[in-house]
Amino acid sequence: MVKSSSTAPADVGAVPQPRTPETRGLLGRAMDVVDERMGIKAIQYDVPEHANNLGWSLGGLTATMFFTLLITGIYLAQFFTPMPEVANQSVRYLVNNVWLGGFARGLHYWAAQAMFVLALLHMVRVFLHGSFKRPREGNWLVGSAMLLLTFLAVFTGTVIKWDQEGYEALQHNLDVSNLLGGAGIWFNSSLSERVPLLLRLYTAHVVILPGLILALFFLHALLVKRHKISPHPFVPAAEVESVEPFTNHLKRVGAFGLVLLGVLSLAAVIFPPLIGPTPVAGVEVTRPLWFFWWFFPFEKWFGTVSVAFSIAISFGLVFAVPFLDRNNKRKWRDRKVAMSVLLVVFLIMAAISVNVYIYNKFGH
Amino acid sequence: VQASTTRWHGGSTRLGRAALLALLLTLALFLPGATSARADMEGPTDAKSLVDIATAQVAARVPLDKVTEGIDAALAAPPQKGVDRAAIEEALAVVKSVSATTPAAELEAAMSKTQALLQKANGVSAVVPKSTLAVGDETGTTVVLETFQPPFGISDGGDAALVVLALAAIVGGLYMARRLRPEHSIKELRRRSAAVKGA
Repeated sequence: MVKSSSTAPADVGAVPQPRTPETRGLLGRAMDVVDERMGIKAIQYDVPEHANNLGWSLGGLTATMFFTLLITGIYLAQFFTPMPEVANQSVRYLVNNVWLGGFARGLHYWAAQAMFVLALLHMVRVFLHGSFKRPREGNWLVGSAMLLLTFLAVFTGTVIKWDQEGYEALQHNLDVSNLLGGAGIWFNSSLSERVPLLLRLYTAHVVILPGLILALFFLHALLVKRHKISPHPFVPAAEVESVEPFTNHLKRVGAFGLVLLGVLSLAAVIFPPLIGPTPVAGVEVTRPLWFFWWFFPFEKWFGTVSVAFSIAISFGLVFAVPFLDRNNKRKWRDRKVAMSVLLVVFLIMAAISVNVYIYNKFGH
Repeated sequence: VQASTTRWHGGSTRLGRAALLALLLTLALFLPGATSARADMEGPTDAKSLVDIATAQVAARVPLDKVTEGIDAALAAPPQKGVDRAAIEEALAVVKSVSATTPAAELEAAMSKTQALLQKANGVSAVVPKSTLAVGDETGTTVVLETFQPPFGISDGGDAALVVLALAAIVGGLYMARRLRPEHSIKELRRRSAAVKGA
């Protein structure tokens, strides 16, 4: 096995090694100075060769999208007014009058969808390769929680632009939260009657949800380092792979991320998102963003409560994966039941989404 | 050689310090002086604003002489529509009816009454009016605006520049991804692994 050279972080109390400034560049010396105090070279842990492929970089790409959303979100927040009377208008002002406002909004819009899709693809990859199995079950749960938070972040983002579509999405959410009784108090106006729900959802969107995602991201990354990158089920002989420092993996993720950023930037310019009319209560004339379609018609088919159940069951299934698929087989071919369940769930979601695409252009 | 190096380093340090000092002095010169700026400020002279100022003084429970001074200033201002002069005079009378030796509870009641009178003088009711802003899940919509769809495609030079940058990012990213690709493909690793396991 070819081992890369990596520098361990300095131990507390260890005698500092003599440095040779003449052999180190300015950047290298600066890194040494920072590492001696902050231990940043700890991220140079060994990563097997197979992890530098696109499929194994999906988690990193999801993180890239998250940071893209943070940057564009901070910019948008400087111009968005999260009050019902003017929120919609402030988005229009942002798009029409603010330098790069329309581009920032477009990039935010497309990056949000890319993040959710990449997170899903990352989880599918982890599922297919059995990378969630012992000892990585805990990290699967952390990842599942991040997926749920991302889902909520997209939902709140949909609502806070405060157009008819966002308002109708909020009304569906209120219907569900009212069914939950006391458990749904945070999600409706009974908790804080004098504060607009829009403002509270905005707080969730810009502080609570990204804050939690960020905290879980660090835990996720630390657990990846602790357990090391999972082996490839089809490359059982680890000695045939070379290893590289994790920083090299980050570089490749950065390269893929640059491509993705370029594609999303093109989408932001060429297909800018619209902003719907200012909302009116009591009517339903829109349908939500496409990745809410898989449960959208349930309200009409089975009643409001079914929406809550379908979401709870779906995310419950995701969280339960390590408890249900517990055998030590990692190759997808050897896990026929697990693969069948994945396929059936995917087909059901796809079929319902297509149904909504065809029949629900103007709501239920 | 060592001595000259030391001397050079010493000179360099002195030069650095002098440059830093010069920079700080320059910054200090260009920063607006808080004190002088405040001294240049002119306070409001209209009755309504002066009543507001007096109200703030009462609310902050500044010394009685300052409160009296503030109310006097409001009374000395030219009459203004919407300002109830009689209420200001009544407030002044309440303030003058107490002193620093007045029992605390009585003084507190007087201050509360003064504050209410001053607010009344400016037409502010003691009862907070119901908010006219939307709360809960109210829409807040007064005028229903139409859907706004920004134009698709490249609309101006800025869009064109963004497209060029995006394409550069795609090309650069693809180049870097290829350059940084692992030595062996998964297919090759699988083959090698199978060979090792089979051996």
